[in-house]
Amino acid sequence: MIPQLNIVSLVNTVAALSDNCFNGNLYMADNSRGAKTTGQGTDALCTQVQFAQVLNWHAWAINVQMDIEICDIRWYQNGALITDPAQEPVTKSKLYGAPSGDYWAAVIDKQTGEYQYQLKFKMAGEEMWMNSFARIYIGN
Amino acid sequence: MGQLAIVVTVDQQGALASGQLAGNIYLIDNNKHAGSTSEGTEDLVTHIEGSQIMNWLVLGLDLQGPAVTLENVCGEAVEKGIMVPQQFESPELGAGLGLWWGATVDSSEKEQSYSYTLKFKIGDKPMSYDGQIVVKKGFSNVPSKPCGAHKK
Repeated sequence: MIPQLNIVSLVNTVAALSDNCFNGNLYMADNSRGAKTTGQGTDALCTQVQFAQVLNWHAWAINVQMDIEICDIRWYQNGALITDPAQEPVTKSKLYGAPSGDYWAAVIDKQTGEYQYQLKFKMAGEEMWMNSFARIYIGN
Repeated sequence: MGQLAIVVTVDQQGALASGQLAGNIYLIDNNKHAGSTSEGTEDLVTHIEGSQIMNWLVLGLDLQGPAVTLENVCGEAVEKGIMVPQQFESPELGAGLGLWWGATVDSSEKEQSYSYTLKFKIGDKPMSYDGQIVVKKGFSNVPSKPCGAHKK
């Protein structure tokens, strides 16, 4: 098991701000290499994870002249937004600072299950939720 | 027309484990509006209208893993003089991102496809990737060098 998983969101920030939408402007990839990981390079990445694994979300702008950061994450199960933090599949979800750029990290807190999530990005002072849903699959 | 960026994302451990970049590399550019295809995949075809500056930005998915560095740009497009690559450094970029490869790409009277090769090192292990560009006629506005950069 890879102790720390990285999920990278590559964003065409200029196009996303111009379209006011992430459709076609967001590409996600991870280093999980799980058999159930799918959608690498798309905006609907499904990452296979396991209990107690650390997940790091990074955001990078294709247009490097513009900063981008992840400012929030929200979880769904079976299409319904999770409002009780205890029901979320992760704990200790927070933003960390690093010389190479801030990133969002959390620890997988459930043994099995499939959850959807959305990331909120901040670009040029503007905050926007991703339009698609990414997923995690917890289990073997 | 702004500068063209190609972000190259590499899963270093995956590449080292399988001995190849295939299946472990994802490329995205900001020229989809000009016709670039297969964004987010290793089959990216970058379409370039008119003479343009292009920049490759290399990022490792294993942030805790071995460094991935672009060592050289070569191949058909370079041999035929269409693509003229060189390494730049910028005082504005830090955290190991201070050096990057850019290139000027020549305009073409008719649409033409060329391959090029990126030579990487992951840790100490050399690996290469073959990419593709399609150059077409278009408005040219090439500055003498990328913004904020000076030749290494």
